[in-house]
Amino acid sequence: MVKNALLSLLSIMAGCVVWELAIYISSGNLLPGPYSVMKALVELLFSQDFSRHVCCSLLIFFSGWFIGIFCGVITGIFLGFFEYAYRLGLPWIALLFPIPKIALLPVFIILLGVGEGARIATIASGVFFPAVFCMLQGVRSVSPKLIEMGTVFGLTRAQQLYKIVIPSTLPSLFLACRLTTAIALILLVSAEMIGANYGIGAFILGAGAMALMDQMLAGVLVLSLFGLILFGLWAALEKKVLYWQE
Amino acid sequence: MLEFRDVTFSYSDAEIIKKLSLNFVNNRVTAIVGPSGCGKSTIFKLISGLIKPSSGIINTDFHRDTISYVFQDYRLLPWFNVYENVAVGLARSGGSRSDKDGLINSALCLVNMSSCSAMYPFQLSGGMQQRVGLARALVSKPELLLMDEPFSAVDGQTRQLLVEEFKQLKDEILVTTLIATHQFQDVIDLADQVVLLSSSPATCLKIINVQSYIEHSGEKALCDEMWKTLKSYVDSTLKHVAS
Repeated sequence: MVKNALLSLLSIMAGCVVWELAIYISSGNLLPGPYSVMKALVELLFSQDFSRHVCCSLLIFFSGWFIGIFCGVITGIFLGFFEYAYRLGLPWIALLFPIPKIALLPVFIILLGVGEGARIATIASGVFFPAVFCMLQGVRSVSPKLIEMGTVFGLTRAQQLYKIVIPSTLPSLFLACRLTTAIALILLVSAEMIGANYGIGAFILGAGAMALMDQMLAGVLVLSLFGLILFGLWAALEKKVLYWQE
Repeated sequence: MLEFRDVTFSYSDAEIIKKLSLNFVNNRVTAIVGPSGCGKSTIFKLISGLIKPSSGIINTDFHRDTISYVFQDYRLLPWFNVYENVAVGLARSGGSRSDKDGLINSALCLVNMSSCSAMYPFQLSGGMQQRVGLARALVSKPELLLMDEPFSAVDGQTRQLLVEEFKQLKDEILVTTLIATHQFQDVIDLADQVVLLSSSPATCLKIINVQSYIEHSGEKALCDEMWKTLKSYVDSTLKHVAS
């Protein structure tokens, strides 16, 4: 594990060296090198203004993501567990899923006003559908042999749901969490670039407009690190929760 | 009492069981032997009420709540430890937590798995998992025990150990037991009576009282008789198909 971590670090460092060399050789001022970006990042981390941007993004991200994943998971389990719900609900899910959710931002602005509400709703709508599909698939993939075992031993439908179905779908839940994290990040930045005063997306857009390329890339790096931390958290949590899959 | 009277069962257009009439002996072990896919598991599903016959009658005074099942592929819940898996067998039982605790520990003791109660299925061998499956089936003190090829998924040595343990249990627990198997050795080791089935659609070819046959003619003769009965059916089927 230590060897893998070292290899990963070496790979990143090698990439940074190549990037710095490319900047040096090209003698261009279009893009800053890794050193400038890191320097800008360190300055920003101690900046109160940037902290406000980050806090605003975190609030919107987690609010939208949590609402979307909660509603999506419940809906997915419901549609998967009850046959009539599946037959009635699936056409609507299939119809609404392909709509690019960022296109709904103006709709949410009209409904909820210009503010965090519209951006949270956009993220929630983008997270909802993948969560539904993951959980729906998870429920419908539960081993029929285990359900049969539960029926033979007299488990009620409710007992089958929480003793067999829900634990069986936990891998699908973690898949949903990983997929929707990436989607939520994309929607967060996109939504913040449209009329937001605060947020990392708004910061990146503003820095780009003022040709502060090192700050702009520092903002992008913050997003990348945020995503990396979240993925690491999911992996650690999954290992702990899905102990039987060792 | 458990009796099949002209029971027929079909999946879509495929007839699995055809006019099967059987009478199972109470408090004894009956082996059901037949080729793979002949309908042994289907018979068990009919008895446990998972499916209904297309025609015919199943007479029984065993209530569904008093029937337990041991599966060929164990079907333990991987996220539950051994104790919790055995507790599944008490899902429809009332009683206090301490009563259930006592029953579970008692069942684990019966199958020599008391020291493994905190372990998970992925930490157990096939034989140990089958023991847990057996404990789960016995914990509710069933009146009818259905065992669907219980030893087919384990190696020969483990099978021998499990058979010896079950022989000891047989006399302790006194429950009407049906064992579906295609192994003649299971019949000799465990059964009081054997029902020989044809291939699908299953019909009854012969019923043999195992203990008296062995006393009279020996184990080899019993195996030969079972083999002869099944083979003559296969031969006659092939002749019919060829003509």
